[in-house]
Amino acid sequence: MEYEELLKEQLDYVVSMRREFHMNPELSWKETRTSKRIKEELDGMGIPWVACAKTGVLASIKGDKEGGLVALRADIDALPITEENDVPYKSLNEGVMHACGHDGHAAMLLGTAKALKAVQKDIAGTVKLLFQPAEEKAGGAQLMIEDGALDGVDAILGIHLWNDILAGKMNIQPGPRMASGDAVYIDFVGKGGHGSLPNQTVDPIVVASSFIMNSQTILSREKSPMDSVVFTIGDMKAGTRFNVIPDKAHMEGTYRCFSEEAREKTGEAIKRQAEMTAKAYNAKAIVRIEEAMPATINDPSIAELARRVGERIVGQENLVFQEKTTGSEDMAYYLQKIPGAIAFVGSGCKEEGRTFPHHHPKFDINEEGLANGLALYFGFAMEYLKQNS
Amino acid sequence: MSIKELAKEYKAYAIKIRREFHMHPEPSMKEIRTSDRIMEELNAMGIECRKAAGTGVVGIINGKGPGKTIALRADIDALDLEETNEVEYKSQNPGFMHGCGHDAHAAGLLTAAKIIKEMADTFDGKVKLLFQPGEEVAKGAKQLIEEGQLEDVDGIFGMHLWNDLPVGQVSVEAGPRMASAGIFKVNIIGKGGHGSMPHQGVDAVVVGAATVTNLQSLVAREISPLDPAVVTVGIFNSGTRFNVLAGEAYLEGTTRCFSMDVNDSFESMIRRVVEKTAESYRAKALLEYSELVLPTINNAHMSAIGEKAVEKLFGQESLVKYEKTTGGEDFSFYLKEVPGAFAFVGTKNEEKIPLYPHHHSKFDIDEDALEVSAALYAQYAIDYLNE
Repeated sequence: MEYEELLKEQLDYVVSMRREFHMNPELSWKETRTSKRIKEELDGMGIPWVACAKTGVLASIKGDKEGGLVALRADIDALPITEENDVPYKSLNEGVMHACGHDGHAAMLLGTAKALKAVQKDIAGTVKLLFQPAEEKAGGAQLMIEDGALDGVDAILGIHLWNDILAGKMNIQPGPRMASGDAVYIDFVGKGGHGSLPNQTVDPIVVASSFIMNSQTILSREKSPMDSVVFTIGDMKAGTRFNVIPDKAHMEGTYRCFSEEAREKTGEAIKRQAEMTAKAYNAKAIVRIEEAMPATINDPSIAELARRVGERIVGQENLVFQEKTTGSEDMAYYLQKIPGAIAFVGSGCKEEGRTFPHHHPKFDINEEGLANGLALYFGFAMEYLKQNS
Repeated sequence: MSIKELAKEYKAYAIKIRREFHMHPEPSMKEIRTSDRIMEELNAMGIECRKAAGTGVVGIINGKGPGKTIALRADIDALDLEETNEVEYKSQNPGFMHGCGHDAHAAGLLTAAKIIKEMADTFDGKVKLLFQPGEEVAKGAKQLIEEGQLEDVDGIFGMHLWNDLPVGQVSVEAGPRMASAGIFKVNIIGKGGHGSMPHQGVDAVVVGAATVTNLQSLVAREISPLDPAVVTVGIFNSGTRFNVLAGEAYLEGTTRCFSMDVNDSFESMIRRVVEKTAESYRAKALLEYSELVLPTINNAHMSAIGEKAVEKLFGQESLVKYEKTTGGEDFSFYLKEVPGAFAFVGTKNEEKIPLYPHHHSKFDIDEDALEVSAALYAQYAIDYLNE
């Protein structure tokens, strides 16, 4: 593999940066120390940067040759979780923890910066490095875009270290990878009264129940059986006493889709069924949809390019299939704007009992995975620019 | 003197004692002062009496010879309600109020006792006075029955002063008069999980919704259209967060009907719908059902005695028909044991008393109704025993 030695030389640096970030985790929009350290490191490498999205950093490495503009993205925020690992690099910030691997993402992208800087003369075009804040709370990606992080950018690659995949393996697939996640709030307004005189009331409990049942058909009858859509009412509250009919019923739910079209249709169907079911009972439905995250959809040609780079790193046998998940990721916003892909780089351990799921207080990554993430970031940028110069 | 004349003569007594009770309302099953005062009054009349069902009172008036026994019932408890009337007999017990007229029931029956005692040489058999505690919580009647107070009773008569009827009017028709009231509580047990992975759980919100909608068919399809019935779910609570799959759901509701058959079938119908609906979704449902009161159904013969008594006392124009109501009464438990009748006695007179519904903090009655109720209790008892 080209540049193999160069990448190997960055590994100690990546591990030490990852551990430093792990010890100093910061919550979404509060990544001040993290962002300061990233800037210091970039300064040390002689790489220009600008602050972006408040606590984010946008760095730029312009090659000596003319060419395109490719972006690499790493998210840098941590979670409100108290770490339960007993490791030398355990969180020093009580109650906050890098429990999703973003410490590794930031470190890998810094290592990539170092390696890219070393081969600046070979780069045909420009590589932008997006150190993005607030992925966990969502909003970071949107603000990076508003602040111009994607201006002129042709393609983007994001990486997520993934504990469900063993270190040494990776997953890069075209198409939908993670679901959209929107919230819906509905109030069914009826007319309260005494439980013994239902005829004088409009019972919102019956209306809400009918809606819940009717809305099942959005999944069973309206959407294509080929599309994956989730609609869940997670919260339903109505009434105060067995013999009193309340004025209203309140519910909250979420829907998840893997395409914008399905997302739009599902939102509309929920609204229509709520409003029309209510009308059928002489009640009223007040529906509020809070759009949150779009679906994360990998561009086929970018995913293919990244897959070929990945194959060179880990070998074909270690490129694994992974079913798309109904979780969400704000990488989705970049992928709505420009062609790009998110890759899942394995960080799981072979040994039983050492791998914990993301967001778990005992979550830790297998640091052997960092080398592959580093190589993928670097290799993707070089390969993309080479092909597009 | 006739019963009617005696009732007129004792009207001042009736009003005085009613106002005394009104000033000293007591909560259900804690009618300590009220029952003590009833005992004092009965003792003063020379009527044999004793406490029953805790704070209730049973009095016995024997006629001139052996015969049947008729029970006359008045409930005596008040409500936890802050009175907002500005009257000289306003409640002295903050937070409690005679907001349903039970003060007047007790006063009416005491006045009737005075009348009956004076006329004891005009009938055979005996009159059993039941001053019942705890009607509002549906405990008093059950407890009096458990203590065997109806074992020597052949028939029973009771009444409710009623603000929906003009004073002077009485309804005591045969058949269903007031509804049953049942309470059901359903715990649905599914399996929680993440809202984005419903297939890994069993969504209790959906099971709860299906249960509510399936329960609608009991009234729409299973119960005869000729039998009025109500199934209301008053509470549906489930879940904690929009994106978390709810593992449990809680439903609570009430049933009402006017037929003993429907009432007897409610629990098994609801159990079937609740349990099988849950099972059809791979969930489990636990039902708790209890009868608060039964339907109040007047015996035809006992009603006829009451209707004749009203006509005899106040003329045909006083006897009216009044549609049955969905409220409940624990008098229904007596009617399950012995034949009986329950009358609605009018108290409405907007020229004298502003009209407010029962259980309202400004509820009050036209005290002319006391004359009617005392006379009707006495007339009913004597007519029944002389039949």
